[in-house]
Amino acid sequence: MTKTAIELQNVEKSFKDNLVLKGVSGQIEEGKVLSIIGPSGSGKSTLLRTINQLEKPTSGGVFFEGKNLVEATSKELKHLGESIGMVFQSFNLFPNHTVLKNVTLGLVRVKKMDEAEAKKTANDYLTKVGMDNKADAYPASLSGGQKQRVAIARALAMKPKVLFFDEPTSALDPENVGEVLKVIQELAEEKLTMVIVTHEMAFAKKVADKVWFMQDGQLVEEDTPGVIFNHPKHEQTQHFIEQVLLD
Amino acid sequence: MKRNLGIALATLLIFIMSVVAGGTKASADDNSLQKMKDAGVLRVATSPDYPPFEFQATIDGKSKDVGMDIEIAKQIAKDLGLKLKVMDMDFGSTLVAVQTGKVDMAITGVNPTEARRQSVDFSKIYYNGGQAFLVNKKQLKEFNNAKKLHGAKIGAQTGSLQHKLAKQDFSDSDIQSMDKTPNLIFALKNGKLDAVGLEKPVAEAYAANNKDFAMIDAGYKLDANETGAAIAFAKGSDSLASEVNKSIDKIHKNNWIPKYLKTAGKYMKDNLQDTSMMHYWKYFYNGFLNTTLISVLAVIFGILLGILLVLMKLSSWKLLSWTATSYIEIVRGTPMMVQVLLVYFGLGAVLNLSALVAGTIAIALNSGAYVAEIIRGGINSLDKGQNEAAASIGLSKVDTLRFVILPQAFKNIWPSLGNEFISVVKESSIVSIIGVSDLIYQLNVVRADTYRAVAPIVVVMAIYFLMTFTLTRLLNHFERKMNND
Repeated sequence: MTKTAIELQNVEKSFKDNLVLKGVSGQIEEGKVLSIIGPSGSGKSTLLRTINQLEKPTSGGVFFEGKNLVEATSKELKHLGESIGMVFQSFNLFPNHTVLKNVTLGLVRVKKMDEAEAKKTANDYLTKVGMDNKADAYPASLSGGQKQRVAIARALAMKPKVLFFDEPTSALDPENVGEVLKVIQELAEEKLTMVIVTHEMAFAKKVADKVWFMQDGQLVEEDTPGVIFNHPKHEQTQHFIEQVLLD
Repeated sequence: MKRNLGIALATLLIFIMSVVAGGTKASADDNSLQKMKDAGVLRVATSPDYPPFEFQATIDGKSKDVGMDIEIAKQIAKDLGLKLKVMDMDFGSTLVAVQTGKVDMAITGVNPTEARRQSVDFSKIYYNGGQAFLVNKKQLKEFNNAKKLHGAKIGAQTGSLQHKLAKQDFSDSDIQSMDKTPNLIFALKNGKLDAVGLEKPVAEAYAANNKDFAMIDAGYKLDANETGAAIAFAKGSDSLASEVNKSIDKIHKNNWIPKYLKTAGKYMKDNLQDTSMMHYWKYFYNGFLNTTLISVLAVIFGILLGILLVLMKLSSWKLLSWTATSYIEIVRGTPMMVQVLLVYFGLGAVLNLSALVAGTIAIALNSGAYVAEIIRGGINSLDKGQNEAAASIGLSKVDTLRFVILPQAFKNIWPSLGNEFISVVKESSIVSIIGVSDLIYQLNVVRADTYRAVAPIVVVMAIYFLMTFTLTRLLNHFERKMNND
């Protein structure tokens, strides 16, 4: 029996008159990898962003550790930043700081570590993603794949309970995709709870314990990768998988 | 006599303030004289850009105030047994200084007009030179008599008595006005004007010191109160006024005025012996130091204020953001000159600020609003992913600004910020209107001393350019350094 890490109850989100999420419910399980797939504009990224409160849901509930984040005060949400990590499509490294400082900033300012301890911790995580040799470089001098690995190290260093990936390889040159996926796969093997929004179907099939197919702001189908990719039940899912496999 | 926009505004402000404060104090407890005797010093305000009344001359390597008025002030100090302390300021500020008690009296060729009597007390008239026109010597045949100036082009200092008189008596002439006497003289020399209306001794001095000019009598019929020069005191300084009047009587009885004018003439000649700009380097140097001091302080405090305003604007507390927005709008929507006058005569009167301090504060307050808008633009230009990334690792709002947003914003806005610094250097020149001896103020002193209209402007322009050019280089250097990071 798996435990639920995050529970969504009928999450709706609209931007002005545009309803982007039309009531999404579901459970994100602890220690498992959930992959969210679907066509562009189906609301995948928005769903991630409403879960970690970068966007406030218009209605519905997001339950994490027994608390409804939608109703949490900003003080309570501050703590959330440490518990739910996020890796962005465009990396969002701090260009004014070195690779090392990108990782230590949160450790020193949020985790209140002293400088030496933060550096040691940061170096451990940079080693884990194979970026320890670039600790003193500035982000501008790195390739996309290297930047994304630093961004993963930055998120991991905060020891999040759940780690979100928002299309982590979409902005990368094809030759850099592999190095980032390898890191994510290693994390999956360590049983870190992860939610990955991705267009890399082969990868989703390989690492995910569960796959959500979203279309038009709705969660159409959820199942194991085996079912979703080989025997999808819904017509929309079938259609999407066929199209993707044709490419 | 000289009057300008500055004094008009100053008078207006003083009027408003005295109305607000419930009028001036009664003179019942006049201790003006006793207070000075206790201090042992007679503080006198003057505006040394009006030879032969008062101007500056280099004596033993130092620039000192000289002229008829200064000689009179010396005699008064001697009679009172006090040490004389002459304080230089813009003409417009001298009467304000008297009213606010910054000085004991002002002697700077002031006409005791009815309007001025509303706000200060005056001594007896100590000098009545009369009115004259300065004309080009080669046109003297054409304009040998003031009556012939009907229909001609006549110039006078803006808002001055000469301006008023010319408009009254020469309504059929083309009357043009300018702020500074040297500008009028230059226009006369260039043939843009046929005559310039001046106080007689001033016209006499120009005619004596420049062979191109000649003086003719103006032939106005005038009341002595409107044309003579008197010393100004704060309202109710009766005991001081009566002592000063005794000194004036003594000066008249001994007929010392011609002697004073002769001394002044000697200094004017000395000034004119070497009118090279090198000879006046010290004036420019002092102006440069003051302009630099004001600019540096205004930039530093402007940045601090700008950051504060941006933080207020970003605050979720409505009152703070509303206050910051209003402040920025008001500062951007009103002329800097008005702000400088308001700080000096408004805030400065309450806190007793010197012109230098008030001017610096005003420019810093002004620059802060612009800096705030530049920083806000820099923040808005950043990718919002930076805020989200900071939030995703749990950084507080303040830490996000401090470690992520502001450092990047500053790098982006550095060129615009540099432009603002350069503007501050140039626009700091506005403080000369409240009598801060910056480059522009010194420029006017040198022009008055040397009777040269253009050369001092060129020198001051070159100094400003060197300052801003150096600053530009310095800013570029830092920009490159930041981009190498």
